[in-house]
Amino acid sequence: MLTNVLIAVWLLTFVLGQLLLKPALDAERTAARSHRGLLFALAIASMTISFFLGVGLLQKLELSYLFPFQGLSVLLITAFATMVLKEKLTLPLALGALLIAAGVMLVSAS
Amino acid sequence: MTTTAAPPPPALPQAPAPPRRPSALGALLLIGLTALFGAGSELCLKVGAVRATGAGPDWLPAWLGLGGLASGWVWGGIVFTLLAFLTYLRAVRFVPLGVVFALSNFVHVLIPLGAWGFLGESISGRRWLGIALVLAGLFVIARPYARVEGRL
Repeated sequence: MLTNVLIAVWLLTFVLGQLLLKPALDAERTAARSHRGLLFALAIASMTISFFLGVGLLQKLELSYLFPFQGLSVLLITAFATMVLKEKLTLPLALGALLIAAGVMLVSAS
Repeated sequence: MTTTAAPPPPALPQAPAPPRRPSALGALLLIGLTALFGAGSELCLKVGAVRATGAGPDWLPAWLGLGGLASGWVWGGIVFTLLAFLTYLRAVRFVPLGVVFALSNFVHVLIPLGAWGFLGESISGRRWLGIALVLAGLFVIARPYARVEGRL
């Protein structure tokens, strides 16, 4: 049970970090300069938490079992990038993200 | 009658030059490097995490993973992680997050192959099928994107 919760937190902190990172670095300068520093710091903090949780989980689980869970994040990030960051969701991107997620699930389930 | 030349208009402040955008091929190369460094990182972390099991002070919960810092392999993994992060940062500046993150999933092809080649872990037929699906997904996203965008 605790392992499943930690895997979920590991995944969600990673996704959150990605969503904060994009506006912090975007060449289009979508976020105000003062906000970009804060967003970058929060992104790094979120991904650092995810990193050390990952190291802890690797002590208990096989790499080829644990890491593919992160593949689920492609669906979450594609969805949140469309909803939160207003990125364009094209058919190839949606189809490709589904194929990648399915492939990653197959890899992790085997 | 004499004419005097109009004084030159005051110079306008120069806007900072926009950052140089990579070509589509350059962006794909950056994302490929991200995946390669990411796979190297995970392989090092796995070796280091196993070797450092039980390391670290007793009062520190093992699930925090900080005991892994006792292994040089974990530090090697951290270096690879930083390299992957730097190449990813460069790519994500110019490419939409959904696209760059999806393409960076090439790491899910490289990790099972690396775990098979370097750690002796097995790859079943189902896992090979999964790798093929990931590759198909990468192709579906990358091909039209590179063709349409030309320069990202």
